[in-house]
Amino acid sequence: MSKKSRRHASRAKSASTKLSPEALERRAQDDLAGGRYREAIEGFKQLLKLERRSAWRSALADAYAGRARHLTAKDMLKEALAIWENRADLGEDIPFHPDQAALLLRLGRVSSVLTLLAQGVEVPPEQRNRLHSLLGAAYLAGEDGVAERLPADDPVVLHGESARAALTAYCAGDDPALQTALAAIPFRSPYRDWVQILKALRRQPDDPEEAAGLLARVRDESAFCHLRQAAQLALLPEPDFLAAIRSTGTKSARFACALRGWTQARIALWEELNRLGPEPRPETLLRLMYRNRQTLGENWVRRRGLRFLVTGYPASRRWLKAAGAPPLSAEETLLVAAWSAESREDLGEEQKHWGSYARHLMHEHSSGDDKSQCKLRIALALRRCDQLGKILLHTTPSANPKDLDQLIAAQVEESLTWDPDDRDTYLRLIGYYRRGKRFKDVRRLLSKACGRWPEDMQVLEADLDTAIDTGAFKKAAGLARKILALDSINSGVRERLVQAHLAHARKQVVKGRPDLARKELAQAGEWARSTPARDQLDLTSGLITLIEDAKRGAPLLRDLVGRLGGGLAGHLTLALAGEALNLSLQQLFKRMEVEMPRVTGRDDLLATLARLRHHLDGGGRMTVELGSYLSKALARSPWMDLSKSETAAACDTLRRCGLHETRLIAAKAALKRWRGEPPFELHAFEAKYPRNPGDCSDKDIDRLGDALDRARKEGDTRTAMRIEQILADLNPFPFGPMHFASPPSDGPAPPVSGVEAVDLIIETLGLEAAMTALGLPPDVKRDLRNMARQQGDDAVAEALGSFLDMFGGFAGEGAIPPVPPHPPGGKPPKPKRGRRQSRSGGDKTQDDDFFDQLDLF
Amino acid sequence: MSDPYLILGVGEEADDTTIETAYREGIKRFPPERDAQRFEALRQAYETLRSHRDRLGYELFDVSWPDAVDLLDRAAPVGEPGRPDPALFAALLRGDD
Repeated sequence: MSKKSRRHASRAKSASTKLSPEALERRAQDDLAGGRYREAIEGFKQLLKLERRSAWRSALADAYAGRARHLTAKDMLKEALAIWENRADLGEDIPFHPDQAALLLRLGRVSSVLTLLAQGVEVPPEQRNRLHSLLGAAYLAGEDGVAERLPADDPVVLHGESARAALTAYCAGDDPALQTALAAIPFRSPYRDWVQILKALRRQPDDPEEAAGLLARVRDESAFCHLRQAAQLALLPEPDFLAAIRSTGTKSARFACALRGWTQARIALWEELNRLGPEPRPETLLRLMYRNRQTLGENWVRRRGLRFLVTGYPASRRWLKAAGAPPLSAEETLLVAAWSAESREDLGEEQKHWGSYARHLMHEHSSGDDKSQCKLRIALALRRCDQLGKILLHTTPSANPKDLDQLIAAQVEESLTWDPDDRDTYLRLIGYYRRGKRFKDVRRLLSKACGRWPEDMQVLEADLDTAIDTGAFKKAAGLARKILALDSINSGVRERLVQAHLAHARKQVVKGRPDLARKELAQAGEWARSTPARDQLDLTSGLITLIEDAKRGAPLLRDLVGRLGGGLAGHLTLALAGEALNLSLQQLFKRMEVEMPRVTGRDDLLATLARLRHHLDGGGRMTVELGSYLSKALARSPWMDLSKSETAAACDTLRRCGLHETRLIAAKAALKRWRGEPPFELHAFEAKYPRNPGDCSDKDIDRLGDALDRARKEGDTRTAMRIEQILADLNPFPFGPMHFASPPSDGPAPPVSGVEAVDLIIETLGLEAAMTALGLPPDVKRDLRNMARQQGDDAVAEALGSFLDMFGGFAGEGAIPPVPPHPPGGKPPKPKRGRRQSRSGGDKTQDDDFFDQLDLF
Repeated sequence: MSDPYLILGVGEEADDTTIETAYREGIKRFPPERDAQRFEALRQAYETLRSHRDRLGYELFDVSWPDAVDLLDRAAPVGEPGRPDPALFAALLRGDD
């Protein structure tokens, strides 16, 4: 026992001597239950000195067993054995524990176990099988003494030969012999777990899952547990396996490595890697790679090793020298610099670096041997920034050719001279230029792409979209036909084709060529499959008839509207079709001899709103005439018949259409049914003050504030954020009571500086009124006016505020000069809604200097 | 393992056909229902190396460090699954690890 342990034990002993036996027993039992075996042993030993009670002896035996197992786990085998012996000395009535036998066998003291058994040592029945398994394992491990000392009919001996034969057959790779040997071992044998393990090992290469299942049958307390664990290790996926063998025993690791087919070279390299720790530094790994460059491959080590230099570049270049590698070449330097720029996520830098790398390769290309490889490298380098930033996919071209998107687009275009076979690059560029309506560039690229891939669907579709964009409907129709000839079930193109013909037909109507328009419609009719598309064609055809001959066209259109369900929805569909032909609604309804219809019911209202949504989703506009027509038509709609979600969707559609009055009616109807519901409060407020929310009443602001609270409580973040935004725009008092700001923080509000106060006064009253309110003398007012002209109101606020701060500022809220009364009969001055740019944000010029401003006073 | 060449078990000089063949063999051996992780790794590796342009892109732009498995597999690839020798069995049967 170490000095420390002795001191600890003696302290515990002296403390426990003062305890009553009951308290001592309680403490010893607690120690035993808590796994503090050393303390438990001390406690029970003291108790046994007081009285040889059998319960205490039994408890002491348990404490000894626990302590011995603990020491065994720590590989302190001799110490553990001493503890087991102490346990055995407690008396003959203490049953022999198989763990003691396991330890003896592990120490190679088979004869001791057998002697104990021969002496008739008492073993509990439930532990007898385990003891036999332990002896079987010892026998398989080569302990011949087991067979010599046990009776010939003992199962350990009886099945031992077959078990050994199975091992020999397995190691020799003789599966039939293995099968035979395993079959000779009965189920109820000490070698039962051994059979499972060998079966699992044999199945492992072909069916790891089955092997895992077989191994799972071997329990933790089995004599073959170590073997099972090693076999299970071999079943782990590679990364887990590497992590596991780091912490496992050498023999288990070697066993598992052998099962996985690890060679000695692999094991040696693994051990070298393992010595570097779990997270080796890049320079350390680089050195390891160069040390093993013979086996890893010189080229591979060089190329992959460069990746380590990105961390800490350019200082990391010296790691190469430390690893015994040659310094970076010019190309490698540019490449690592580009990677390093990527790691900083600065697209501008990346564009420059990849450009430099590509230019270097271009220079090399003139003299290099592997031209095609080099060309492709150049192209890829030039496309890299677009690949990273997805610029061409989403950006609209900016006006300035020096802007990053333009520079990247230029690089990508240049890449096509080096690699003209990349279809996606053409498509990306075409999409980018189409967004910027640079159709000349689009056509240039399209002609090249179509030349290369005349039957490519994506190229043809890009061509079709461009034709539609540029109003070349005839060309669009031809292209759509070509696409459909290649892909007859392409419904999107079919739809686009119909739309292209329809658009062309409308164009002809506007030009006054109904004959040509009809021709287009007939062509469109050949492709139209869906009912809405057919309805559109019929409507357009009917409208052409109406234009040509109102008497013939009107009944035709009335029938059509009836077919569309009549009501407002049907008329709206007709109205939208008429607008597409530049027909005013008034004209249309007059020619048709129909009255402006109203909503006929709930279904008609929902259909009308759905039609409007479809129109807006398709990029349609809402003309003033149509808006005014709909305002009247929807005024007396049955809003109360809609559900909550239908009303919310309706309000949203009306918002998109700019039909504020109708939206207000709908929102108010909803609020009657769902009082204070935040989305409807918001719709009602926005619809009531569509253009100038600043004109709102305090009552409306309060209602909105209540709606905000409720939205927050109900977790309606979207509505809460929208209301917050409105209130933030409305609140002209940044340091006033923030009723509606985000949840208030504890503690007093921060003090208001003079600058902030003056800024507020100027913002609220305007400069002139503010100067009067502050009682400034006329010459100062003049100077401040000049200052405001030259540097803006902010500079004036800054100068005045700083001056006030210097002389104590406003003494309190009450000290802020009163706002002058509104002119009689006039409106109060309107607060400015937009916040000016932060003063602190801009660079201070000489004129902003506080001391210069003081001269004003 | 992160190196797609090692995942597919092909050399760096492999062409499109070799890579596709290796991929098809790989997924036949490790279908998703048997080893989803391995299947996904094979699929990703194939996507990375599918064409000459992809392979060059990997070479130019992939900055991931080789991991321990890459190094081990490259320097000393795993052989056929083996059978440990009886001495190792004996040690583990004795509990001697």
